[in-house]
Amino acid sequence: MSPQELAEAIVPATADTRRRIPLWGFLKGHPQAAIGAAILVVFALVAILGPWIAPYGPREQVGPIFGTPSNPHPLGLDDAGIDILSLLIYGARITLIVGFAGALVAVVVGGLIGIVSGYFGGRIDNLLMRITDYFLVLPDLVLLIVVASIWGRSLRNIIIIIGLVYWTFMARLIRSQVKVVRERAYVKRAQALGASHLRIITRHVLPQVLPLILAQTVLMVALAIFLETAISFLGLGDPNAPSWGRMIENAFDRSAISYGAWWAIVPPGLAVAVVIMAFNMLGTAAEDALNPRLRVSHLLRRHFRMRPLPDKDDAR
Amino acid sequence: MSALAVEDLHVWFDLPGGRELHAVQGIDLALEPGERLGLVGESGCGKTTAILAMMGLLPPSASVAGRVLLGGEDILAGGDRTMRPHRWTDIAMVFQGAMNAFDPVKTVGSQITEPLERAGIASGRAARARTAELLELVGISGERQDRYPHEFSGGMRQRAAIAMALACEPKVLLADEPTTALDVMVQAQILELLVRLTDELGLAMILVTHDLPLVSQACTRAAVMYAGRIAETGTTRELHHAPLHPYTRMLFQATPDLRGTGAVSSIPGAPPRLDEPTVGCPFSPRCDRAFAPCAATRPPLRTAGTGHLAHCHLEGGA
Amino acid sequence: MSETLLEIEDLVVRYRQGRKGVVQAVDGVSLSVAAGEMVALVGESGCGKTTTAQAAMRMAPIASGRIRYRGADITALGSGALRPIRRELQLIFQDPYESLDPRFRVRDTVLEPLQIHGIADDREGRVRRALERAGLTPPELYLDRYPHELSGGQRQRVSIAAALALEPTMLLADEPVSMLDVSVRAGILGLLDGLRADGLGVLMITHDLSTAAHYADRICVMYLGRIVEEGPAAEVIGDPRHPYTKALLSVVPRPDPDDAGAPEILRGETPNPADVPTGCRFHPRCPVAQDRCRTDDPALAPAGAAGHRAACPYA
Repeated sequence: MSPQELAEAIVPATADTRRRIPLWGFLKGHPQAAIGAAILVVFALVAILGPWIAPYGPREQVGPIFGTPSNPHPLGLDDAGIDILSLLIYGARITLIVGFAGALVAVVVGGLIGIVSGYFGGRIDNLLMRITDYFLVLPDLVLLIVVASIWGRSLRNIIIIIGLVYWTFMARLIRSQVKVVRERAYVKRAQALGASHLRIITRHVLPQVLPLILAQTVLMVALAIFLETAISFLGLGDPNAPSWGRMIENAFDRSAISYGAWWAIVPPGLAVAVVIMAFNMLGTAAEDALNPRLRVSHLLRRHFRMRPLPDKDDAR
Repeated sequence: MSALAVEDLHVWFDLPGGRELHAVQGIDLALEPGERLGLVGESGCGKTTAILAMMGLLPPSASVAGRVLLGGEDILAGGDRTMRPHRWTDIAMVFQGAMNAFDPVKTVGSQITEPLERAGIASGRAARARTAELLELVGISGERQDRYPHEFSGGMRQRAAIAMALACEPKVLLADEPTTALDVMVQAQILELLVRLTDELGLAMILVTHDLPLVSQACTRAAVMYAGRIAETGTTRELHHAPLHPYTRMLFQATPDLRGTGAVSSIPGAPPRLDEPTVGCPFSPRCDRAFAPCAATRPPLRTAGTGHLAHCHLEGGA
Repeated sequence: MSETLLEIEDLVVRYRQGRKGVVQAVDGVSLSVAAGEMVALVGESGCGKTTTAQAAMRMAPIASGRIRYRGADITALGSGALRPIRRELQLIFQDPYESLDPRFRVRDTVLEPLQIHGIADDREGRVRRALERAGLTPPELYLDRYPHELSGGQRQRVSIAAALALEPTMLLADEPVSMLDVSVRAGILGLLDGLRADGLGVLMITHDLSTAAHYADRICVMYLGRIVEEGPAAEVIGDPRHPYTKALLSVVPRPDPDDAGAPEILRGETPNPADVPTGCRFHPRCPVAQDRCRTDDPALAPAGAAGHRAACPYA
């Protein structure tokens, strides 16, 4: 064959860059993701710099019980006369650590099981999915009350509980994605070449589902923070770690409401809500960007514009 | 009067960064009632965009210019507002991959009845009877209207999709690759059906496809599109036996014939980008008969007999 | 007589379908491909042509029958013993948009087979030669491209280059051009034809009889899991014996509008492979079926010229 016949021009890179989402472009195109990310950056900085920026210590009594918000204590004091702003700052660290670690446990366990289950299918899939179903039908609250009372109240246990509650969700999601990728022709080709399962999973399957895992991890952190708050609120939190959930629980426990000390409840409640919302904004935007199927078909919307005909010389 | 006439139709799509893709660059087409016209071209040549524009089914990122005359009336002039009263009732479309056009949780019949009721043509028992009639028309027993899409084979779903398009008795049918995903024998069945329907109902049809032999067998006339323009239009006989444009000839040469003995050769290169203006003839980089003027100036319109036109610098055919 | 590479003998492949039963996707198929020969396996979707090729690659469950490669029985080989065979037999996939990992550069895609088979010497040279052989010249132009930067034809050439990297003796091409634009199909088919001329065996799966007629040396026509007719391409196309082949050929659209022929359009659709008709499996749709066709299941028998066989007593 002639070289001329073979030389097809290289098609220039088109709009098909969806697969690689440059962070900056993504944030620019999704204002809600940008807002969420900005909020999280602020909270993360607060968590990291906590000990340096907190005006007082987390166990330091600096004034009267349920002291009202005032100049040196803008958010008031709690039932032990501890500065709420300082507690909130220290709590950010605990809450975010538990959120991330819990989500990480869920993602690692769920991701691993999802990948193995989806990739191998058949009997392994059946077995793993049955186990997943058992965990899925266990009521979350009962599970965590039982675990917390058996293993005791500690941060590590809360992280494990969060992992236990949420890994099933991750496993099912990843499994369904892996099942799709497994059928791709390039996976078949690698199989036909005699590539090992490990190679196919790490080289072809994992990179393909990784963006989705990341997006889900972000959403999972929000869930984990929510669950941590709930666990603490039920009095099953780590007594030595002043998370936001513990702050709320503490305030309720010590009748902050009857004292009219709203400042002991509202700031941590608001902080939890804002952080969860921020993670959600970022996570759903990432999911939307990664999963074009969630978008609405363009054929349903027909608001094209009319414009005048171009000049003849210009167009033809 | 033509059933459908398209004059100087343009479609642009907005691209990120304020750029534009000029997908359809001024095409003219005319169809008489009962006529079948093939619109042929490679992927990305603008053939599907052109018929979506004729239906007014374009996204907000699209802008359109030109005229779409239905029975003499310009239905494109007022955008969606003037398009809407005619869509599905006067001009209808069968989509590419129409097998997936049905909602899986509704019966096939109810999805055909819906446009009938919406257009106020029939309702209740009359609509059911009309649906059965439409299904019989495309070769499906009317009793099957209570079945769900998954109970139909691919070929039957395609027939039902045609019945759905015909529900409001349109005068013009636009069929976008109606047989692409089907097997040869089912393809033959669907093609036979479309030919029969256009003959019996006096329906004008545009058959959009990348498959030249399909057009040769099903249509009397064809328009060959390249890079958003019509390179050549004429009867299928003229295009096959005496093409004016080298692209038409090279497309035929790239198509293996069952009993043909001649060499089959591909066309080198790839179509140009449509987000940049093209200079000269857009096909010239791939053309085997390109000469100096092709790269520099826009090719003039050549004619050979009535209705056989091509945009090409060559004189006396390709 | 050149060496016979692939021999499939009496292959049966069954799939379980739901709880209900078993689908006989391939039901007693025998075929062979020699070096320097292109065999086309033709049929409609669901006829078992792709499953046959997958079984030849040991990627489908073989219920019975034998697969031999260069004389060696590979029907029951374990994955370790199969590795050298996987080097010699390479698959080319239908969809060039799906068969390349979007995250791999051309270099990595072509390199992957070498990595899998632990070939360390002269990798760069092998990759370049494979690309050149697949018509991607000069290789420098393509090595660092991602699939989305390439046209459909170029992607399919990359896919072929990856198959050639291990210097195989045979290619299994599953609908190699059906997803490509007409204008570039001939280039890919010509490339496969050139490789065949270089001595590779090619088994091409296609639904397009025109393509098979033009490029294949021999054609096997499949219907519902069986080969119903086989023979030299010119014989099968010019003098079809089985009524199914005749009907199939009659409906192939011809480029010349004056050459319509007399299409013999079969009614209905191919039956479900889970529910194969008794007797000759084609009889419910056959225009010339007789009473005995309802009960007798015809085997392939010589019909017409040498090497031409059809599974029909009226052939």
